[in-house]
Amino acid sequence: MLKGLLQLAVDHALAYGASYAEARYQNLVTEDVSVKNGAVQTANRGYDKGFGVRVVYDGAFGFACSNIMTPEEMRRTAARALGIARASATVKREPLILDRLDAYVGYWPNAYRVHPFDVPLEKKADLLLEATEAMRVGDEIRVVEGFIHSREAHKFFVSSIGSAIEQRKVECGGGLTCIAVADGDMQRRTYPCSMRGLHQARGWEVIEEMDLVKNAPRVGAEALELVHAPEAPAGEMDLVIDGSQMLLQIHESCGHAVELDRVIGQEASFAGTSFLTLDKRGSFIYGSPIVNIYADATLPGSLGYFAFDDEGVPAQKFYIVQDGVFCDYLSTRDTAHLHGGGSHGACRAQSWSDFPICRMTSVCLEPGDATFDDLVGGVKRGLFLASNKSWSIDDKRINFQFGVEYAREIEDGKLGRVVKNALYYDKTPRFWGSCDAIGDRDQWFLWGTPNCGKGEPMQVMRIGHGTSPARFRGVKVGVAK
Amino acid sequence: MMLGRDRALETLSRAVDLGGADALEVSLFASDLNLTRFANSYIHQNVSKWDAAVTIRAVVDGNRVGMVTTNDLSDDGLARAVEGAAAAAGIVPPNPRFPGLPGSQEYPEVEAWVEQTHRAEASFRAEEVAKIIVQSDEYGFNASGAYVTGSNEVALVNSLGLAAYHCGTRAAVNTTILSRTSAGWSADDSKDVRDLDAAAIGRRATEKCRDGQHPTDLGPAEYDVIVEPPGVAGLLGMMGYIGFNGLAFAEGRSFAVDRLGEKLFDDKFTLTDDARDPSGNPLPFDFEGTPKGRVPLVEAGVLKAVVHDRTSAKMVGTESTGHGLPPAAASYGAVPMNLFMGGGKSSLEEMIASTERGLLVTHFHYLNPFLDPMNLLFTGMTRDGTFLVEDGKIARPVKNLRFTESMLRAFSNIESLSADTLLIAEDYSSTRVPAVKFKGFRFTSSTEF
Repeated sequence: MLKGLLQLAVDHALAYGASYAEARYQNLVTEDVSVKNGAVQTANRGYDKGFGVRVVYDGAFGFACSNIMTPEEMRRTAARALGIARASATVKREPLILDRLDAYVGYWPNAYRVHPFDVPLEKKADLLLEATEAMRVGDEIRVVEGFIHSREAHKFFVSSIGSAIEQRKVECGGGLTCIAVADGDMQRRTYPCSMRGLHQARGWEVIEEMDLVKNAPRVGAEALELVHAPEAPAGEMDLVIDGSQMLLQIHESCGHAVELDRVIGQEASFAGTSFLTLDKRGSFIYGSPIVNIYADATLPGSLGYFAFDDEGVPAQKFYIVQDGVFCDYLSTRDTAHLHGGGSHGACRAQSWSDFPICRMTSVCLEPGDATFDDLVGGVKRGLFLASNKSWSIDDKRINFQFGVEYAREIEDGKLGRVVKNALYYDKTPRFWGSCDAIGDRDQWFLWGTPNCGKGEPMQVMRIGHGTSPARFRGVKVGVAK
Repeated sequence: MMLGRDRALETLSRAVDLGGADALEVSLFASDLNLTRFANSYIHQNVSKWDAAVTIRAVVDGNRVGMVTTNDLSDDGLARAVEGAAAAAGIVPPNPRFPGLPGSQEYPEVEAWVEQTHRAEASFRAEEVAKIIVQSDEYGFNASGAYVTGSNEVALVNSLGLAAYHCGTRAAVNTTILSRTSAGWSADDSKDVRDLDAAAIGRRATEKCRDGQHPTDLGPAEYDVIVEPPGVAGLLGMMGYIGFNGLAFAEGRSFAVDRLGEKLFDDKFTLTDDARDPSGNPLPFDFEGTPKGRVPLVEAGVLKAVVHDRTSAKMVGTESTGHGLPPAAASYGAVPMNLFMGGGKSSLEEMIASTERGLLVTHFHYLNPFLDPMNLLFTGMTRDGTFLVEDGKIARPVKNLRFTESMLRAFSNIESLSADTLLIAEDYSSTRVPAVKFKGFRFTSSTEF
């Protein structure tokens, strides 16, 4: 029935002159449970469904959407999309080129052990209450909070080339935050990661594996330690960056930089462009020879995992940086002709109501061979940095400045005292060029960031990042207040 | 497409009448957004989005709250949502912080709807975009940006007799013009699409781009800096979010803690939140149904207030100032959404003419306020036109710089303000600000373009 309804929209657009049409349905069910200072703040279910129609007319795109699932509305929405495409075609240069694509038909669900919706709400609330209270290890702990987010997205995609793709994806995530206030200062510590916790495309097992209750006292203790810690130093020194911060480093300085729509200026007025221009593909030295970064939409459990992207292109794995050399882009059907060989399957939409754009899937740093002791042991004077606190990068992804929640000095190869408000800044190629050791497979972890913003209207995307800790030489840290 | 007052309130009342909890609140958000996006001097994305969703908050035993959000407004959809919210409320433990639901309220009349904006078609937006591209084409530059027309509806009904409805329109245009070595930017917002002059926006951005070609390096240092209104709006928005936020204040994590009434800023800094001012983006009530009013935040440099929703007001023993966010975002606390910064007497040209050596900044990119919130330590990059001013004149374009600066320090070092102010608006919020000249603003690193 769903396929038939969506097909109506596609057929209607074709009948009235579209050269290509696709209709994409999504039914998203979410559940949020959050607690703060001993009370349940949120116990929320969300239901959101509808469909969007994207058409090409006279070499230009148009998009319209609706949350009313009737045959009449399918045709009406297709007509609106067509009218918008006609308007687009009045202001165009070259007709857009959609890369050739085979038709696919089938159903692909992701794997999970326990569906998070099968876990009772009260069990989630009780777990969070217990874990957050366990963070209260001192009077200066002012705020303790925790959350669990669960979701299931059901998608159906039909296109005029004959694809009929149904996908179902279950995700779960959560985390803890502890805020200590003392002496006019405030410091925050999170677990397992500050970027809205940890999320994966799996079930309740994601929460169980985090062991929130066991880790909570340490998180509280570190918040207290931070609020009484001295300020981090300023200068130039070596860094060992934990995986919980490397995910942000990869996200901002590599993932966004290789989105092909940015590279060719399609995001120039908002998110910006990229220093990794088309002439640099295959030759530009992005990092040191040990740096290997890949995009992988086939990685099970990742927020960037899927069978097909939101224009029906199969999921792929490919290198972005290999042996330090920049080698490829994230791309979509309308940009793939710029690199040849077909779209890399990175076209994703936030929801049924959004125009799909080029997005990261799972952008990961390949593990190296260093143990954590190797990484720290090779530093005479430096900092160990964990979990992001502030993030900013220029609109070509060159100059970045990142602050972290938790930092420790390194002296003569050993971790030393905790310092607060640590930040580091550099230029992307110099920074990655200074990478001389990467943590081994045992330290590699699949993170998930659920709040990557891009596009106009703004779309928030859920992205996976696999990282190990890594070591960087001679990086600038700290600035005077 | 829009629901209209009668249908919106009838839909919400129907949900409230289903009962099943001690108290029910149903809020509705509907958005009709039409956005034409262009890059490389052609339209590459062009969308029409309409959606309406309701959020049900069910309350049992006074402070056990369950919530469901759905965009299925059918009878069945609403019934499922109310039932789900009530069931959740019956399960969750009590929340002592919950301030309860408000009863019936009186709201000020605000004028925020312009029919011409609501009815603007894709063909109209394409014609306006073409006017921008023509300006850019004259110099062989690349034009990108977005032209938006749309409307929003918000309504709130609860079982204690509260009924509220508001609708407003928004039109906005922004463009970034790119040459091989420079970028120029300009933008404008209004509730009335007829106020927007796309050709003028295109011309201004094109001239910025033209004047910014072949920028040279300038080392990071302290500079006097003239920040144009969009840049100032970005800073104030962040200050509002983390600093003037009643929840952050109540939890001891705002710069304002224990400092109300202190002179923290320059005499020339006055900041007010006023959702009734028609020159902003008017809104009669917040998303908890509290009437909006005028809240002086800073007067002649003296910190006067932070803003509250019902929760943070209860925590510190005061009244809500009408700054509650929608239920799904309420955990962020209360945020000032209609900021007005008082202007001065100067023109932008006079501010430049009075500068011996300094910078002129068009706006900022990727601002971040989380480095050290108690000191309002922000970072961000300049973007789309940064110029060195010497001896009262624009001397040359320079490559973009990163600042890392405490806003407590910056807003204590204001040398002058422009008389003209500019509106920067979002769907339910706005900031009207002058250009500001800060003395000794700290730039800490630079980039390559």
